[in-house]
Amino acid sequence: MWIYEKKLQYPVKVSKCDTRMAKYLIEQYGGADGELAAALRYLNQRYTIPGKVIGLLNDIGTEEFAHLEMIATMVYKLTKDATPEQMEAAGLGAHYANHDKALFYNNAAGVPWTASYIQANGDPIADLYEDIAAEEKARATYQWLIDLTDDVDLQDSLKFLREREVVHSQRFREAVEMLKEERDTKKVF
Amino acid sequence: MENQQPAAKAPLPASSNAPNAAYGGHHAPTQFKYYTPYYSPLDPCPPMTVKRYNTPPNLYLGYQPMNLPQYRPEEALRRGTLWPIFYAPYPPR
Repeated sequence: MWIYEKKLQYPVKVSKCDTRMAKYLIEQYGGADGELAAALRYLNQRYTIPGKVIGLLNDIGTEEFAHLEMIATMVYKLTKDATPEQMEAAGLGAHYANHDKALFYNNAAGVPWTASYIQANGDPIADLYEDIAAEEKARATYQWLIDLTDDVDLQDSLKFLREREVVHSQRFREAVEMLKEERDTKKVF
Repeated sequence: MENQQPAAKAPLPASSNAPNAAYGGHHAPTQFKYYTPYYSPLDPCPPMTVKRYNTPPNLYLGYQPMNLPQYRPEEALRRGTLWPIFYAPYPPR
């Protein structure tokens, strides 16, 4: 189970009325390497990974939901006061037709989220390498998002999220090192 | 952003480039690498002469070494990490 703290992990402040950014930020909401995919990927892999790594996947998977809330907050703030005309001008006309202002799990190109984004091979090394790759892809996506806005407050929150991807990748790499170690077998070289 | 010197594009905090115990007393690795792709006289757009890509600290460390310095809690929250060695600034293009 989870215990919910009714606040964001890191403050989200959006200072520029720039509905266009909402269209791009949604990539990290419902994209292949977005926060939803990350959370579900890790929490699902917990069950079939050696015991030492379960807690890591549990903690990082949980943190990804905290990041999902931050992205949702950004998108909500950027769209809530937009007129239909402004939504259309921001490239969100199709989104408005489908969802009004509701958030939806799709990527920046409007492709709906799908479970095939969550790889779960069952092989611990394959799964952790998948996770490392996902973190690096998310880090890079945050870089491109930071490049796409000049709102320094939005950039600040995005830089926090990007740094977390760096740390998560580090922890997954350490998990691989743990699984590589010779354990019960006698080392004879 | 075009035609800038690499040094101007990715300012790093001084601490990132100081000799570091976690790297056996060597300098910490740079967090951006640069290359210059071929530009053809027939290319249609003005060139971006220098391309960069990010190489964050997690690529280099393996296990996190023990007893590393930490940020104060408030600073750690602002930076997104407790550990200076993992701090990875991103200067927007």
